[in-house]
Amino acid sequence: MTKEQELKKSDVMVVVFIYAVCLVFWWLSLDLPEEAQTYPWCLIAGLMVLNTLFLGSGLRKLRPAGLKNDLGEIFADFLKGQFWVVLLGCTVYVGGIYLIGFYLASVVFIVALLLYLKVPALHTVLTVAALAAVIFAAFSWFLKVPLPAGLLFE
Amino acid sequence: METLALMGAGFVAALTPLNILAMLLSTFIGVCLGCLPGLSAAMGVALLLPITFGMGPATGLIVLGGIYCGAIFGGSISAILIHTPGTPASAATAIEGYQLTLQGRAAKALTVACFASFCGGLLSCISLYFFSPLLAELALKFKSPEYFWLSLFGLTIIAGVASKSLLKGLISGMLGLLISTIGMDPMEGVERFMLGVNTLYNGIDVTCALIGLFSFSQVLILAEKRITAHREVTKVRDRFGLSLKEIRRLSPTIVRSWLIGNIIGILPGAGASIACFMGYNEAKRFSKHKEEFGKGSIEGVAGSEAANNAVTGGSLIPTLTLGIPGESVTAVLMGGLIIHGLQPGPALFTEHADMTYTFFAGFVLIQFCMLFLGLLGCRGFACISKLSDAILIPSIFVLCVVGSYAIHNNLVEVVIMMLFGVLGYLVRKFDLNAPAIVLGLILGPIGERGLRRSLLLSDGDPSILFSTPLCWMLIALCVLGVCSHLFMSRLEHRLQRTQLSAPQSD
Repeated sequence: MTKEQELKKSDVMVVVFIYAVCLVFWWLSLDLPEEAQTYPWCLIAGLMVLNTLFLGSGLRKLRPAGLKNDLGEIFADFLKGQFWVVLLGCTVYVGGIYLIGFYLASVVFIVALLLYLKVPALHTVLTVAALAAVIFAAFSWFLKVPLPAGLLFE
Repeated sequence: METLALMGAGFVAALTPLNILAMLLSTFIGVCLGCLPGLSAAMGVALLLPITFGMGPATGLIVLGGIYCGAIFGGSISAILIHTPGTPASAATAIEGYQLTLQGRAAKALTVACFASFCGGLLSCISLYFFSPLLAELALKFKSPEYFWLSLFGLTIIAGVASKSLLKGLISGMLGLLISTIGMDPMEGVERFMLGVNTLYNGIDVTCALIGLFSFSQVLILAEKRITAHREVTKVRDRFGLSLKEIRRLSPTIVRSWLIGNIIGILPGAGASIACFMGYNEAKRFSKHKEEFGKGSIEGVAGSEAANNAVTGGSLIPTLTLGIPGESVTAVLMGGLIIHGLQPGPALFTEHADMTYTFFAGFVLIQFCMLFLGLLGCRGFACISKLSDAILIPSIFVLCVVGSYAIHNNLVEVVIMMLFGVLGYLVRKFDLNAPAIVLGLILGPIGERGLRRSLLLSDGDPSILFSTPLCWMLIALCVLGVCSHLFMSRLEHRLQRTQLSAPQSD
């Protein structure tokens, strides 16, 4: 285990997240019958204890060295615009599969994203063709997975 | 005698045209994934797991084994040619391999890496054959209380592996256990934490979680960084091949690294990234040509590559016999095993012995495929290292989507995969431990059944959990698992510091 000298902001965020998860699971478990509550409660208690130990070890470092904001280091190379466009694109693509079907949505998604990422047209065409061939061969032909045809075309 | 018969039958079953094709293709895909910097073996196995659904268990496992071994070897190609290890397991290879490339001896370095990987992987199969049944025999004695402790032992081990902080690792494992409670209660039959989503009735699908945590999170990691248009790859101009004198010179290093890699592989908690540095370190210590180290030593490349490939066979031993994967790739492989309806443990060597020995034989043959493909296709694989991240982002995501959809032909599982992807991204950013979460998901139901059945048998008396010597042995192992983390992380840091400072000081 490395000996960290300061309490890091990222660690505080981890602690808050874990407490929030424990709280949500505990709140949801209140509706369960008594017999079904015991095991999740044991896990929640265990997680709370570990999280509190982690918080305690962090607080011990707080007095001598203070709180270090390490978010800048963690997200040093973070390109906000590009990241959110990709994540949004992925989300819209999954919605698009439901509406226009897997193959059409995939082509639109790949072409749009590659255009945004400034990939040359020839590489875009080759990527679409190669992926379509691999997916058709592996999933449609070999595994016989009925990939979604889309709400509009069903 | 019976084991020999099973071994023979395994080779007969593994040598069908379908299995040979599966070995060649999967090793090829593994090498391609391995030589792409940033893509790990675990990501490759998780991404291609759904393709094995339509195969028999033995063929499916052979495919996963091929990707695993191929990716570990593939990492050395980019380490040698562009000084960027494709996987962490090839970090030590980059030190000597790139120096050889700068001297115009890239083909020599690649041949040594390929030959040493082949020998390391092949020799590691010996321990896979001989130690697995012994450990499986011990596992036969396990009952409900022992299974509870075994699941805890698995978590303490993996929790310490991939994160800098042991507490963060344990928190990740516990988080995985908590997520594994989503779905139907195994004893009471009531719905738990399902939020009205019927797809969650059988719990979170492990494949979905694997694809999200390892593959989609990688898409997000690639998306946040400036896109590398294409990497500069040094042209391979010299000739491939090794002379008899060179093979004689490398042999002691390879045998030494095999032993190191194998022992490290068997020890749950240690992995290929530690083995490569240890193999390299010992190669340097015993070398008669110490002056070459740091300036391009073929022994350095062989030491690192034989050790990291020897880990592959060794790490499968605790995974298959006890259900305790020592690192993230074997955690994903274990997920594959469960998806194919096989529970790791003694049953693999009794009820499913034919399948297990076919997989073992396949694992041996995969090493030959790796040698064949490696020597034949190094120049081609080098071109793959040039592939831009911009092309990888949508390609990996489309494969993530189709892979998670194919599990039950359900778009809800794609959404679950995406949620796990975002969780995986945050886990990596905040230095939590994704393999521990996966292991928590896999071991959760085993541990829960073990605990609740034990308490049911003892009318709620918890002393049943401490009633047998095996329970105490597993409790001791849990404590040892926590302590071994301290030892392993210190060892890894010391080795990395020593090796990385060596070339500069030269």
